[in-house]
Amino acid sequence: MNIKKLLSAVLVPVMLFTGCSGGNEDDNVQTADADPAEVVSAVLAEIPISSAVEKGTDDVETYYVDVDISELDSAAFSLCGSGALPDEIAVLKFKTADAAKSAEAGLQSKLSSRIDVFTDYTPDEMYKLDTAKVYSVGNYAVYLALSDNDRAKTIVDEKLKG
Amino acid sequence: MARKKKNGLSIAIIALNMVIVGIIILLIVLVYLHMKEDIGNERGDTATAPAVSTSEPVSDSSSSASDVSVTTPAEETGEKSEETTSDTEETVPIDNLILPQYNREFFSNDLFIGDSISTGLYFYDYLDTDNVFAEVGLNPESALTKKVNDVTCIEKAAAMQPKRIYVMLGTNGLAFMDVEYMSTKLIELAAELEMACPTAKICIISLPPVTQEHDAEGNETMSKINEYNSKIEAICTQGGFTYVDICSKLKDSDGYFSSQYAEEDGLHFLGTAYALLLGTIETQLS
Repeated sequence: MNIKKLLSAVLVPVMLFTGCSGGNEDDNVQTADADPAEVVSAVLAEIPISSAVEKGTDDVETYYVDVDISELDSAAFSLCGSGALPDEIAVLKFKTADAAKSAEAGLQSKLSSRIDVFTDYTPDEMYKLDTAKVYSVGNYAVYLALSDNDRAKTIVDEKLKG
Repeated sequence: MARKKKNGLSIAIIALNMVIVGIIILLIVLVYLHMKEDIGNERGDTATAPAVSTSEPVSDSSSSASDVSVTTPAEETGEKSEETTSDTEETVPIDNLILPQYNREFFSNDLFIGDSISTGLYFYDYLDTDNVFAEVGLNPESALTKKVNDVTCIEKAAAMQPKRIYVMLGTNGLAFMDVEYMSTKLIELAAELEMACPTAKICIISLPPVTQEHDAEGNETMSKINEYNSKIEAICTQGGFTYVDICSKLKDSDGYFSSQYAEEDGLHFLGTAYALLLGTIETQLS
């Protein structure tokens, strides 16, 4: 009986302690109130775009024609100004999470059209589009087509999830 | 004896558990220290990463040329550089390029038709997107049918009825199309645009040059570009179209695309080249 008590006293806290180290972050996504321009800048500081041009909220309607901007709060995006490369990053902040989720389809459509035109144009650059990421986190919709999309997503998620 | 054995066993189990707990705590501390080191390194990398800059358009309706400088991005090789900004970028005062001024208003009712090079006209904010029909990979043949935002360039021109239409197409076909065939398709396109917009002035812009390095790759070469440009100049003379020679303006003393205007691929434009293009057109047509 003493042994059982002693074991319980030692093992239960150990099991509880080790059991808490896991958990799925997607179960409880909390987004920070991040400025899209700051998020884009943070990514470009580490993964630059050649001849980058930076665009803002007013340009979204023109560049992302399939995205419903009626609930757009603010946005920042950057792409290769010379048109030579498919590199592009966009962070769109919406008023609601539903609007952000809906924007994914528009961004996916943009990605599809980019794949269409770049497939024969610059095959060496296709890895940026093949590994591109389109997703939403809370009120934010994100488009990543860069030289290191995994790293870019990590930076974006760090900024958006706070 | 049995009781002693039992006590000994319990002490051993407690000791074992304490060792396990100790190891776990040690691991947690190690992981924490490792993560802290990683974060420190990331901050260091960010601080030394190359900065990204945007060239500003030159327009006599906004800032004066002397206020503007153009940043030439360093070549990206795909490898991450840890060099500082000053080591990877070259800043060239725009005054040294002797760029002609252009007036955005001059082009407000005009339409540019082109390939990826022409997308830079609105990416760099030289013109509004409404004034440009451009798509990556477009050539004189595909321009007849290719839709951008659900319309062909002919449909867009017909709806817009621009004052002038500029066509700069052909670079994308040089690698796999015959020059004669491309020029035939260009005539066809110009004729359809003329029918759709009878009052518009149709201007054919020469193909821009390529750098010596790009030329050496053998796909788009200066000999093909010069041959094509000669053909379209002749077409313009015969067909009553206006020919705009931007090629000679963008060449260096060796006859290749000047590094002052060329993107690192030796084919596309840096921001400065658009200012030169628009200034040249305005000067010629005025």
